[in-house]
Amino acid sequence: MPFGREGCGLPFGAMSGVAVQLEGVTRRFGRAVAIEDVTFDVRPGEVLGLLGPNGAGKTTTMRVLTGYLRATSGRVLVGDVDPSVDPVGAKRLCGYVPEASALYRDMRVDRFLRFWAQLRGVARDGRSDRVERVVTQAGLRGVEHQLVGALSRGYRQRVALAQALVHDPPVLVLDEPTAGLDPEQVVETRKLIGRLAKTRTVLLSSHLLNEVTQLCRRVVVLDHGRVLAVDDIAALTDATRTGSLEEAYLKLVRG
Amino acid sequence: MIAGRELRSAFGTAFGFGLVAGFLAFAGLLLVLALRAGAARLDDWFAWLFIATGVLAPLLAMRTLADEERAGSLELLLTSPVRTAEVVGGKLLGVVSLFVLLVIGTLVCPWLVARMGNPDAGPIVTGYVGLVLVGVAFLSVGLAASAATANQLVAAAASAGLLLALWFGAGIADGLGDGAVRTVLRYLSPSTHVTGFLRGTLAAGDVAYFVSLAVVGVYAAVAIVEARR
Repeated sequence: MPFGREGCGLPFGAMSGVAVQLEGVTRRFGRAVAIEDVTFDVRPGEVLGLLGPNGAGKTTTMRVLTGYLRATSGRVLVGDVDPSVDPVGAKRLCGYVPEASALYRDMRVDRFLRFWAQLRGVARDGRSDRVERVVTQAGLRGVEHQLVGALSRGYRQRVALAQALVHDPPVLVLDEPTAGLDPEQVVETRKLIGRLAKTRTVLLSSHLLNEVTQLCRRVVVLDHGRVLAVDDIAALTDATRTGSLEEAYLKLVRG
Repeated sequence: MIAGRELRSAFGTAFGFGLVAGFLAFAGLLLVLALRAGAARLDDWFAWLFIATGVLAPLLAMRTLADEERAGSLELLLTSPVRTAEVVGGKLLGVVSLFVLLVIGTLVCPWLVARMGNPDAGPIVTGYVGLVLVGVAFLSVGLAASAATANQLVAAAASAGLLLALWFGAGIADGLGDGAVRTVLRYLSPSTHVTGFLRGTLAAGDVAYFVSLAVVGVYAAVAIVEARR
């Protein structure tokens, strides 16, 4: 595990990043309940894994946290900012990579990143530096003048990560950041997330349990919109008397 | 900033370019037809441009929010530290800028007429003021339709349908005889409110009508985006 648990192994609070809290968060769409009474916190500087089968409510949880969706009830705190009170302030603290990386394909990579830097309030004189910085960080050097739509999927995923980083947010929310990538790209993206996590609070959803094992120490398991468990991976395997996160997960989800 | 992106992206597509070219060609063709009557006057020309705007505006506005929603980039916009009203406002400003550029392109028509004859300047000035007002109002309606669906064609059809219904509602109302329905339909129809511009008068009521329509459109677009969150 060359880059695995770094960023997770240190005592909490030893790194920068702010805490994120969800308290009894429920979101309904009409009569359908997407998530119900979801409570967990992401500690400053940790990478927390969000697990669950398709339709468990992972994306809804992330959308509520990033302010794309409102909670029907319950409370969210990003740092000490309540998005229902100060949505703009809370959004400034978050960088978000949505599940389907939704990029403007008709824009050049550098212009695309400048656009988001400006929209997210990066000061004019610092904008070029920030864009340069994230181009290097996300491994986009050499393709920064190409159209986003002309890039391969792996590179587009890097662009999605770069836009989430461009305003240097203390919180990163990554919805299945390695989905659809080839194995080499998966390894590269994980390395990148590992590096980014050193200075940030990260909430990451994934179907790939070995990925979660590599990047996270703690996980939240969701199913049918409810939290089944919030715990260290080690404690989870102990509690379920299983040998790996995969077995523990299956035992939890299958009841 | 959102407006700038909108404008560049419209010119970057064959569709946007085609719309611009099509509208200008239409304006030119209308001019030829208007001048065949032999008089150096442009009220018919303006009247047709107003109706053409009822078709053009939905086509210009249809992709604004619908395409963001379809592509999923609305998620990035709405998780950025900007208010929904700013996103909608930026989109409107983008398409309005494009429309104003188009309107400026048509200035060659009155210029040609002025070289050939001696048209009355008043109706031309008020005609252009009216054209911009109508454009902003119709684009706002298009924006609201674009907010309501992820499908551009549905957005265009809905707003064009609504605008044409409003426009020709006055004519239908006339067939209904006198009564409250007729009065209301006539008042709601943009066609009632453009006649002043064609004659060279700027009535506060007409201006207020188009400004109100624009405000309602923007307000509806913001409300629709907010309601989905």
